[in-house]
Amino acid sequence: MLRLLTRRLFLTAFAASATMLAASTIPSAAQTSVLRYATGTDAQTLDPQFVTDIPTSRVVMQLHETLVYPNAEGDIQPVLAESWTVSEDNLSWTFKLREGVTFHDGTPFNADAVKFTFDRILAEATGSPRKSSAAAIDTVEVVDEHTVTIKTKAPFAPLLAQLSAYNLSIISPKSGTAIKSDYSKAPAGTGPFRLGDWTPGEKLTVIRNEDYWGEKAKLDEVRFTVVPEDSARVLMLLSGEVDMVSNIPPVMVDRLQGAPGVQVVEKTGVRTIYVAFNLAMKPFDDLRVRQAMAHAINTEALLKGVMNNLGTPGGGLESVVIPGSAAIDPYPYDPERARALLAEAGLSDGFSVDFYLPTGRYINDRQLGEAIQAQLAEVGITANLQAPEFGTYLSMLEAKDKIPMFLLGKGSPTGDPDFTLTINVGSEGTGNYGNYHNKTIDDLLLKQRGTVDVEQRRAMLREIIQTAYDDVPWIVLFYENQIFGQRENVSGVAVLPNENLRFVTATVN
Amino acid sequence: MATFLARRLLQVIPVIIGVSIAVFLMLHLIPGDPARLVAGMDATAEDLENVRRALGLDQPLPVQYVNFVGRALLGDFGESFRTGRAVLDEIGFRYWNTMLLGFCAIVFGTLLGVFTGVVTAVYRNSWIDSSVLAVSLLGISIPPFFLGLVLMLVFSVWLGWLPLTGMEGWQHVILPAATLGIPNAAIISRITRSSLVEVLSQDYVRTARAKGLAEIVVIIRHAVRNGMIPVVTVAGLQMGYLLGGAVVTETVFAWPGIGRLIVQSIGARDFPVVQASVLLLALTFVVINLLTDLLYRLLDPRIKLQ
Repeated sequence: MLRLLTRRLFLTAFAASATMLAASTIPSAAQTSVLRYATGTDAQTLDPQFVTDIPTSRVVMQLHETLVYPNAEGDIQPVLAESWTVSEDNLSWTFKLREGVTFHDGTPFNADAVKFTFDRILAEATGSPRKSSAAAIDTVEVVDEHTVTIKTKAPFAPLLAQLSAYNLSIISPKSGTAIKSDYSKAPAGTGPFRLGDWTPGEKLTVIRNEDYWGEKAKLDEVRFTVVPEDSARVLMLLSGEVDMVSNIPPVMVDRLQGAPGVQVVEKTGVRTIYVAFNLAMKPFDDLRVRQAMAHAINTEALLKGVMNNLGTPGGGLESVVIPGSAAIDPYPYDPERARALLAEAGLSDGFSVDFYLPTGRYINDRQLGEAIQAQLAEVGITANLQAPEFGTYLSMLEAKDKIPMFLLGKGSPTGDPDFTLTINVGSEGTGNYGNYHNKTIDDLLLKQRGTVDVEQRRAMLREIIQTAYDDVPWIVLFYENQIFGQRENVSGVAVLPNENLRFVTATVN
Repeated sequence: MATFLARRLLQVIPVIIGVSIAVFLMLHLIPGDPARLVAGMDATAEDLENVRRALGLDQPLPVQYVNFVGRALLGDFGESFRTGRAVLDEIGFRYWNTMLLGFCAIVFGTLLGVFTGVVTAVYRNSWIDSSVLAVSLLGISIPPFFLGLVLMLVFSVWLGWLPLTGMEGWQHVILPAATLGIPNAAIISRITRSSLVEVLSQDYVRTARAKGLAEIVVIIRHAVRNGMIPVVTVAGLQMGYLLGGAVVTETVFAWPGIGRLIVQSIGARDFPVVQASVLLLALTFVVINLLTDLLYRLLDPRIKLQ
């Protein structure tokens, strides 16, 4: 009996290991290399002109390319445009286009396609929510098959950065007559991957573009799955069900770093997390109060204690990875100075304020709010945390007279300060929720746009950032790091500062 | 029977009209601009205007409602604000996914609940009874997302038996259905037990026993059948609660269902999707209630349908 049992056990074990051996060797000959990537939210559309969020742009930019694109340092590089010249009056930009490029639908990429693309986003009928990304463009003229001239209404120095925005990806005129959900069924860009299949809300695959003009992707396929729950994504990575996951909460980073077979990838991003004030509401109309707040908030402690050091310190409105940003130190933590400033402003007993914040939108936003609340209490300020649902929160912010103090994040779709500074601190900006008005900034915003000389322009941008820093309409807490987890067998995935991912050089062993 | 069915089906109409008005008004009353949520944080004022026009939000409210009802009557629920896809394409498959999950959870919960309920009623006040009570208290009290993560950790990460998330094969439904079904089983178990304890003390059970029937026959044929009426009521009601749990369960297990879609769509103020989904669910509840009533009749023909 015992012998029989052992023999059977042996046979079973043998059969099992034989199957496993077979499984591990035989298919490898025809094995396709697939990278399985789990993300928290689904792509909304595959039409670049309708993209308004990062998770969607991460999918769309596997399929599409822009004329130019920033490299890992944030500097603009040629992609579909090989070179360019600017006219004497700084109004016409002439681009020499790459030859021998075809769209996924088989049609050739040329000057007509560029004109088609920009005309499409600017057309009223298209209804793009990001028509403004092409607002600087006045006309697009086809010079010859591979040369195109873009004319701007006024000299517009940030044009190249603007052209690198995901909304301005070049799409095939043949496929691009369909828009939004119709285009999404058969998108045709020039990217290193083409669409495989897509079940919205569930999974999406992109497969290697064999006709790609540049170095072809090493992977056969990238499979995007949607897993909204953070812990579930981490479990999937640990169990090997996926190879890479996005948005890992800082508290889980330690655990992942200690786990075998996985690693954490982090990179400074373009997202600034900040606390801002409504300058039209008391007591924040007083500069001394805002300065006091800046000295009372200990950003270093927030980074260390709440963020597990997964953020990059800095005091300027634009992240340090953005060319043209200014490296400014945060206001030093000095509760004594804060108390003195409050006393000067006639608030020696402190004050009480409603402090609004989103929950679950930025990494550890709620915890940041609680820590700031505790820090402010040290100098006698009572911050009452209010966390409305995000849609409600936004409409309250937009009313501009309901929220005295708030926590928010800002990204950078173009990787150039012009676009976001105009929105956030320009007097007329849609994101200027705190009624911050400064004539110097408004003038400089206009002036830098017409200054084509890079260094001169960057000096002006730095002056804008410095001016805003001195006025303290915002207190920058840090620049949010992008945190990914990946299996050790994954290599070559490039995490760009603008929060995009490049899988073209990636491999899975 | 036929008049009963006809009357119940007619009652659906005012329910649906009421729900449609309520949902429409609620969506427009809660603060939050759909155009802003579609256009994103980095949109300019001009972008917002464009989006508002494209979505028809620049129209007055009554016009929007009439447009909505008019199109809905023709079976057209419009396009999702977020994705631009037809609303029915967007919610159709997700609705069936949720119904599949709910059905598996109800079957799982009812079978487990009735079984443990019968066992505890028969062996009441024994150690079996008290340990099942303890476990079912745990089952009711654990929040579903935690239960889901624990099940994932044990059965997927440690044991490697079941897949973690998604819905590709039949194995994928087991963990989410268990997560949803366990709290259900706990409740149904308690109801079954108390109902059965009462039935077991009735005269007809004593008569059945006196006839010399085997105990198992007495319990199954006479007691359980009569003890099931309150259980059916509760199981029917539980379908409603199930949807609340489904939102969390669908999120944890990345199950592409309608619960998660509604929450996302409310967050994004995707009005067309929310309106159509809520109408569909209201209809589902009416149908489930109807089925529950019919099931009573099946269990006890003395119950009059009116």
